[in-house]
Order: sequence, then C-alpha cells, then structure tokens
Amino acid sequence: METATFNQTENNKETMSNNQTISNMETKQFNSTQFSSAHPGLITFVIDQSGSMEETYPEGGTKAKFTHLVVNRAINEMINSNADGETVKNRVLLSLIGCGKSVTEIRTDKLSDFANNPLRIENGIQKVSDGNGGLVEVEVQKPIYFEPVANGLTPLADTLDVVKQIVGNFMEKNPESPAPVVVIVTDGMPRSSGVDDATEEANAIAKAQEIMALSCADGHPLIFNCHIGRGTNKCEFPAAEEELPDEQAKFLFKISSEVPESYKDAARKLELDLSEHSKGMVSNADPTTFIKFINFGSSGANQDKMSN
Amino acid sequence: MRLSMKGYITCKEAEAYSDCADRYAYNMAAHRFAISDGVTKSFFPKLWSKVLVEQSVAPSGAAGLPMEQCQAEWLNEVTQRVSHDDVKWFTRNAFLRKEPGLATLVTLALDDENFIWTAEAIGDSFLFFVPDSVKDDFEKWDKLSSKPDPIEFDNYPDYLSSRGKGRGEKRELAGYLEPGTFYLMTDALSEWMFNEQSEALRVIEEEWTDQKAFEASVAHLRNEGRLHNDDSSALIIRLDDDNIWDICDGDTTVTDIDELIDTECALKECRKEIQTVYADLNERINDLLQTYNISDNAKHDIKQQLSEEFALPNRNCDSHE
Repeated sequence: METATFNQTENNKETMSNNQTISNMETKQFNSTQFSSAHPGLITFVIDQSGSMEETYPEGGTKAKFTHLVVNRAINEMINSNADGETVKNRVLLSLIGCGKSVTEIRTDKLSDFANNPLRIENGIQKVSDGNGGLVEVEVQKPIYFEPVANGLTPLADTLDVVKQIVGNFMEKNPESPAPVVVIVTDGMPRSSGVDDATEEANAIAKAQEIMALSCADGHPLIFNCHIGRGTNKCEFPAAEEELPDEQAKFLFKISSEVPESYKDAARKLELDLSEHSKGMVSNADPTTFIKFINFGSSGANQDKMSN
Repeated sequence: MRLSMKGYITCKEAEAYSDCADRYAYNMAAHRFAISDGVTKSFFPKLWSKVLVEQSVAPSGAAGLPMEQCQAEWLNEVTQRVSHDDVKWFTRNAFLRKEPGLATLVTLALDDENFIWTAEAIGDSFLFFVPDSVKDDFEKWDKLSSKPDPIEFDNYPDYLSSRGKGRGEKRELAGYLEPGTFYLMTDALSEWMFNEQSEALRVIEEEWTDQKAFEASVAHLRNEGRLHNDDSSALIIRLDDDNIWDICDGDTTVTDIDELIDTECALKECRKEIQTVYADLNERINDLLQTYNISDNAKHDIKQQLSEEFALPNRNCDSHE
C-alpha cells in the first residue's frame, strides 16, 4: 500500500487565525464586528410555543401562525442577503429554540444548511417591479423551517438556560466573532409548571442577566425582546423605568440589552423610535411593529454593501 | 516604452477562490486593461464582473463599453443556469424578482500612436498612476475612481448594473505615457494605498514577487489591521523607457482566478476521495480483524501500528466481538 499523508483539517482558508487582532481603532465600539465567513455571527430566536399563542388576531390567524410566518420570512431574508446567486455565504449560525410544553432546540445550523435543507417549501405570490414603474405578480418558492406550535406554559428560565449553553459554547469556539444576538418572541409572562410565577420570573431575569454578562472581543451578547399583543399600551424601546406602562414591560426591561450604536441605524431605517439609552424591546407590539422588530433583531446578518 | 505586468488576486479570509467576486482582464495586443469588483449582495456578481472586464478589453471599433451587450451576455448566462432542474429556490426567486448583478469597473487603455493613456472608472475600485519621478509624493500621483473628494471608503459605492441603469457617473482621466507604474486595484487594496502611500509601493515592489507571496502579504496586512478583509486584487502595469517610441511587451505574470478555482476544486475532490477510501479501508480492516480470535486491545494495537506504518489517520477501533 502506498503511503499517503494528507491534511485532515479542512481547507486551510477556513481555519480561523488565532493571531487575529482587533482592527486598529482608537475607540473600540462594541457589538460592531461585521458578520463574515471568517467570523460568523450567532443569531438565536426564542419562540414562545405556549398554549396562549393559539389566540387569534382580529384580522384572523393565530399568534403562533403569525410568528411562524414572520420568523420564517426573516430567515429567508437572511439567506437572500447572504446569497450571491447559487451559494449562500456562511456568515450566520442560526438557532431556533421553542419555549412551550417543553424547551425544544428546534434547529441550530449554518445559514447555508437552512437554505439547502428547509423543512418544506410552499409556493406563494410576490409582487415585483416590471421595470416600467408598475408591479407584476410572480410565483416564488417560500421555504418553511419550523411549524407553528401552541401548547403548554412558558418556561422561560429553562429556555434561557439552554440558550446560555448555546451562546456560551459558540463564544468559546469563536472568540473573534460578533457577540451573539438573542431575539425572544413571547406573548406573556414566564410560567412554569411546579414553580410559582414570581420565582419563575426571577429565575428568567437571573438567567438573562447571566447571558448578558458573558463576554467576547466584540462585547456582550445582546438580548432583544418582542412581546406580541394588539398594539394597545405599546411600549417601544424605552430608556427608563418611568416609561414602562405595565408589568410585562417592566419584566422585559430587565431582560433586554441596551441597543448598541451599530444597531441604531437599522432601527431608524425601519422607522423604529429610539433614544440614546433605549433598551431593545417592544411590549404589546402590533403585527406591523412585530415584523419591524424581527427585522431589526436580525439586521446584523443582513449588513453588506448596498444595504441601504 | 517597455511594458511589463503583474496581476494578483485573492478572496476574503475564510472564503474560497470560488467565492471571490473580483475579476481582471487584459489584452496585450490592444494594450487594454480592466478590473472589477462584484457587489457580494447582488445577483451573480462574479459573472457580471467577468463580463464587464472581458468586454472592456475586447478589441472593438466602437468607443466605450457596449453596455447592452454586457447585460445581454449576463442575462443569457444566468437564464441558462436558472433553467437547470436542480436550481436552488433562492436562485430562482431572485431571478423572478429580476435582481441585478452589480459591480465596479476601472479600465485603462494605452495609445502608443498618440503616446497617451486614458482611463475610466465607476465605483470604489481605483486606478493609480505613479510616475517614477514622484514616487514619494502621493499628492502628485494620478488617482481615479468615481468617488467624490474627500475620499471615504464605505458600503455604498457607485456601480454598473446588469439590469437597467447603475448608480453614479463614470469619471475619466488621461495623461502622457511616461516611465511609471499603473495600479488597478479593488477597494480594500485601494484604501490601503491611500493610507500607506509610498510604504504600500515598497511592499508591492519588495514583497509581491508571486501569487503565494502576495497572499502571504495580504494575510499579514489583514492580521495587522492594515487591510480590510475583502476580496483583494491588483493589476500592476509597469512602463520603462527603453528609448523606443512604440510600446513593447515585456514580462507578464498574471494569476488566473479560474486556474486557482479549478485547483481548489481539484484539491477538495481529492480530499473527499481520500476520505472515502480511508473510510472504506477502515471498515475492511475492522472486518478482517473480526475474523481473528484476539482481544479488543490487540485489535486496537494493530490498528495503531498500521496507522504509524502507513501514515494513516488514526481512527479508534470500533470492532465488535
């Protein structure tokens, strides 16, 4: 048998350089490292799958189905932003965690794997420009990555424990990557079987703060929260406790990160109203605000040239 | 004048050559050169930048880039690819949405009849002309792109579009042929030239001796934070005075991105093949060892010895009694 030696590692170009230095900047702006193939970012969506998500909107459809629609669309937008024709660049690691009857890691994968292996594909209609100032309808394919579920309580503390492990492991293996982003979508306060509500709330706050205390070269992980409601008593990106109208908002305030400079541009483009020390949260979000918030939360993955 | 040329190209860190959206082309007979940077977020940017540079240097009676022809060529190629049965959903959707390819472009033409050079640029790729007499005086270099002064590199360059009108207006520059060097560069290297000026020239002259050396230099500059992590390519066209009026062609060393891609692909396929062979070999060895009445430890030792003897990857014994 001929002797054969070969390098078992993958293409050397994919091996991270351990000597990578932070780019020379006099003042380091945190949460500003761009998502790239060299340093991919982690985005985790925590999706409320409790029984109350079965409630319907006045316009029709349940909160669970609408959440499913919005998050699936956000994933497709990430794929479109990182595709250059036939391939999807792996600038994003995506994790979907369900919080309902049980804590479920629905899927954690590279963006290209999501693109190449959706759960299923639906056909839909989209209006596109006809080049003459008008619109035409074209049939497009709409991949689906997870199904709507509404069952059980909202064990947020246990869910955030799972998130902390995923985020912590990612940061350990990718110390030069952008600080991870966690986007939590929920329709109510945390509740867990066998635990009183106050304790569950306190545990969820503690766990969220543990996540936000983790650290990497790009700073601390960000947690953004969207509480979906009907739009009444909406509280958007508050900067101080005085602005909080109810207990839901006060809870979210404690588990949300302050919006860093690097995300403020994305928020403004989406016409979301921010002030200097705004926290990344919306409570009682109506459907339109919910869509904008999800786009804001995942905007790190959609940065590139021509992103205006 | 004697013309010699070098050309180097590399992709972003942790990406493959096949991901690189920069392209360049040249036509020595016509003394035409072009470089382009495909916008990553656009649709088939590599194809668009390739079409632009190839059409820019093609011998043609018409003045200027035949834009409609370029767009037709891009659309034809993309349509063919999208019509394959195994086309991905995101590719098909983008085609149905009529998404364009976008790219910058810098072109240079040397006219030895009139002894002048002319250049055009759109986007944040640059042409620099550095006459030998002013190498150390950055202000006296010729610099061309469509970026307005003061020059700031951002994520919003001008571009040519494969569908419809692009963005921004091209700029032009011309000059007399004299001893010196033209540098056609995409944005990351251009920004580095602005920042480091004559130090950049020194690095280019002393360190960029071949493609490998170029890549090592780029990796070093990126590690030091002196060069952004982006596709990086440069055509370096040198003019020396040999007391002959006409432009004579000298040495040409230009890396071919297609060859880099093919080599990369071949290496990837060979690795897969070897891994398949080794997996099969491992299975066969395990099956063979099963036929002997020896302990698991003995089997493990045999496999260890074989690994060392034949330089095989060391896989754990997974045989079952």
